Amino acid sequence: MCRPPCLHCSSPVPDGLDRFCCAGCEAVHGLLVGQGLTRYYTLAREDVAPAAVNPNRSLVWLEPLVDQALTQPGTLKTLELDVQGVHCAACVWLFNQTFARMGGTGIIVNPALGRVRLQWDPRAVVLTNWVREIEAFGYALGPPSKQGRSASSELPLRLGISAAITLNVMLLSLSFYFGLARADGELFAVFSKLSLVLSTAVVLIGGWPFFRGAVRGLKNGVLHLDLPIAMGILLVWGSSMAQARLGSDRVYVDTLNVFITLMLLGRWLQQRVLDRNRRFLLDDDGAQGLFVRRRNGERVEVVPAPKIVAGDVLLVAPGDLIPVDAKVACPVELSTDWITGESSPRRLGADEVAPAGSFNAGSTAFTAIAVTAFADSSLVALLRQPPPREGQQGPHRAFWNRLARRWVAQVLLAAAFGFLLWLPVGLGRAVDVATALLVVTCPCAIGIAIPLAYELVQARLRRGGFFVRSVDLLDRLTQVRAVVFDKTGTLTLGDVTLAAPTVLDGLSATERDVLWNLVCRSSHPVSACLHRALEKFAPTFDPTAVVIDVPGAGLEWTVAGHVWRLGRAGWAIGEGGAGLPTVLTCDRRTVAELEMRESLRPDAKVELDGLRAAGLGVWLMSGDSRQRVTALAGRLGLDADHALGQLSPEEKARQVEQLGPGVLYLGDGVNDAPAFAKSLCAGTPAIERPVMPARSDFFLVGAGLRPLSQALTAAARLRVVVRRVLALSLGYNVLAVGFALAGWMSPVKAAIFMPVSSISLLLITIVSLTERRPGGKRDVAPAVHTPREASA
Amino acid sequence: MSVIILQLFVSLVLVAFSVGLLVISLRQKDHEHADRLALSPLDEDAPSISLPKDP
Repeated sequence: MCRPPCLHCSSPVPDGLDRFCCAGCEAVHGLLVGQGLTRYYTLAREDVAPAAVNPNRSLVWLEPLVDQALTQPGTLKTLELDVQGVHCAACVWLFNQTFARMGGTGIIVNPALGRVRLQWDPRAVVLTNWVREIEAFGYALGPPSKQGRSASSELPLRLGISAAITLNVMLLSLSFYFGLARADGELFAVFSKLSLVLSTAVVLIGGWPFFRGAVRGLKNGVLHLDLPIAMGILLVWGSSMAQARLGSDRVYVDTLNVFITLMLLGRWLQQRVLDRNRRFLLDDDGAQGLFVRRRNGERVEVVPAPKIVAGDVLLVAPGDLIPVDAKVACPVELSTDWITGESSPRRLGADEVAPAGSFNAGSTAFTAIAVTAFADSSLVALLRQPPPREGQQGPHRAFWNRLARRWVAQVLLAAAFGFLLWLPVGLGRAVDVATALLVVTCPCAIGIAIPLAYELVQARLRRGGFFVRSVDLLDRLTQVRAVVFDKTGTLTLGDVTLAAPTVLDGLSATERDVLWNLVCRSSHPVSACLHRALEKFAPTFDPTAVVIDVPGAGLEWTVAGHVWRLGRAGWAIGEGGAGLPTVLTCDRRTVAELEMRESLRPDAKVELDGLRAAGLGVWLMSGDSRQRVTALAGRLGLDADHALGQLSPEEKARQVEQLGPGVLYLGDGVNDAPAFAKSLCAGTPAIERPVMPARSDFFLVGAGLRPLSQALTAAARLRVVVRRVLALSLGYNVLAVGFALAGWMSPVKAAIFMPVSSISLLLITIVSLTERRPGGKRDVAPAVHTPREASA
Repeated sequence: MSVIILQLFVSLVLVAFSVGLLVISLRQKDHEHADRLALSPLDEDAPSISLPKDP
């Protein structure tokens, strides 16, 4: 029997769980039901995203903002915050409801920008409480740092003005088509002049981005796609003005206006989709997801990196990231690959300063004293960097630029040839032919149809939970030949949990102290889990302890002549340990069996099978022990030689490099950054740790991996459609140029043919990318989630 | 004739007015959800609190 989907988000429920796909969805559903907010499900229909609840989020950033707001005059205070996770009307409704219930005066949520504007009376509302409440629903708020891009607000304004004027010019032109002529006297003069004045405004306002692009291209010695567009606009406008001055009745400037408006629309579509995806997430530096071990007297606490100030004593476990410049207490080995590109580890002596962003590449933990506060750390700037590939001229981007340049050069050559060919007949005729050639050879395929195709595909993927961040990701996805998954947090649902937490209650204080000192010096997920579980016992930290991290086996500490081990049973106990879970041993005697529970993503096996069936190589690479990685590979049906465990960040990057150029990497931790840089494209499902999406080409929202295979399929289909559109466009342009050179194409006919061809290509693009539902109904952007039946 | 000129004038004023509204909307950065804001006066003054339902 088919298991019912998650009550909250309708995703498949993984084995071992009941009713909900993850703890986040269960928590949010409980809150919604408990607070009588189930109308959320009615408003959201099927668009509920799985809830990514992160209880560890710190609100240290909020206090100074609130303090600043409290200095505003008057009783009501106003504050703007960025918000992550708002995607539909139901989210907006939830924000409004919770804020109003708490006594807030006014709230405006802008889902497009990912921003919320709050107005409240501090005597009645404690803003921090509301932020905590709304974050419990899976949203994340942050300081208002999302920068509005000037280009994306410039284009809609120019587009709006051009469209408004164009519609009016078209109405005026109707009178010409229906017979208004010079013989009609003053009315013709008024309409003609008005058309010309308004069209001049459209040319100046709407044509400006193309003129600017053409001039910049020429200054840089590049034939930019904007050049023929700008020349076409100017020639048509110039010839219309000249004909009007000469007293001709042929002043058909409406087609010029339509042309400019359509070209602007295409450009705006290109920008809009990427802007929207980038704005979905908080534009912060990712510091909220970075945690550091800090010594506090005899205790070790895990604190968010932004809380680090100069002088703090940090405990850096093997594989840990050092978030600030810090003076190391003993000789250490560091990896700085992802910040400096140095592939070999760097050795530092005692009292030398380790640079922010370096990893502990040794096998033991060490202490270091922070030299700077996190706010002054160079890591902040490093994390704010866009993905390494963005802005670089990748091969696919280069293809489009090359295509545009060739197209521009050939159109200009054809226009010049046509001009020279018809010059003997007369200058006016030659100008007509050259103008017709420039207009009729509309780059609508490159300028409008292809951006629309990308927009349609990206919108569909976004609804499925796949958010594109890099401009040419969809082009690169077609080159993917192998998919590499990190294990924890990527194929599994993140943190492991202790199957029987009461096992710690049975330990003596000394045993808990030993365990605490072991796990404090490791960044392994099992250590992190035990660290959280042990905190309530307030165990004692020994700063002199030397814990050895034995890769793939566990942790070892020799104290008072006794060897304590935490890790794989076969290693900690020796023979006879087979079959046992993670154990804590003293002199090879088992002190505690610590069984861990790890949930696979619900559709992991199905999706991996699908990827392999599609002919892609599927690899599992993890820093976790080989035994665990091999066991997971077995559950997923992967070959053992495709499952590599116990890899350091640098080894992962090296393996990715060895796999060749077509690697897609899906990872979730900062230690995946070197592998990200070596892969063709990289993504992450860890949106609660913005450091990763900020460096990714895409990110996934939700508990499943299905959006990944959907994206690969969509990219392949997009490539087919793009080729079809380009072929049709080429055929049209060859015919049109032939007609124009033969003198059968006047500028007016060209101006009619051009929009007709543009609209035809747009329709072909839309129809080609429209999916058929099983019932035969077409759907341009189908929702991925199955209908929910049990939300109420 | 004069009526047509008057209509032209009025239509151009309306165009200018709509462009002005667009500029305001863009400056407030709410142009992508202006439709929802336009309906906000119809919202209930106080949020309705429905009774919890058992899922």
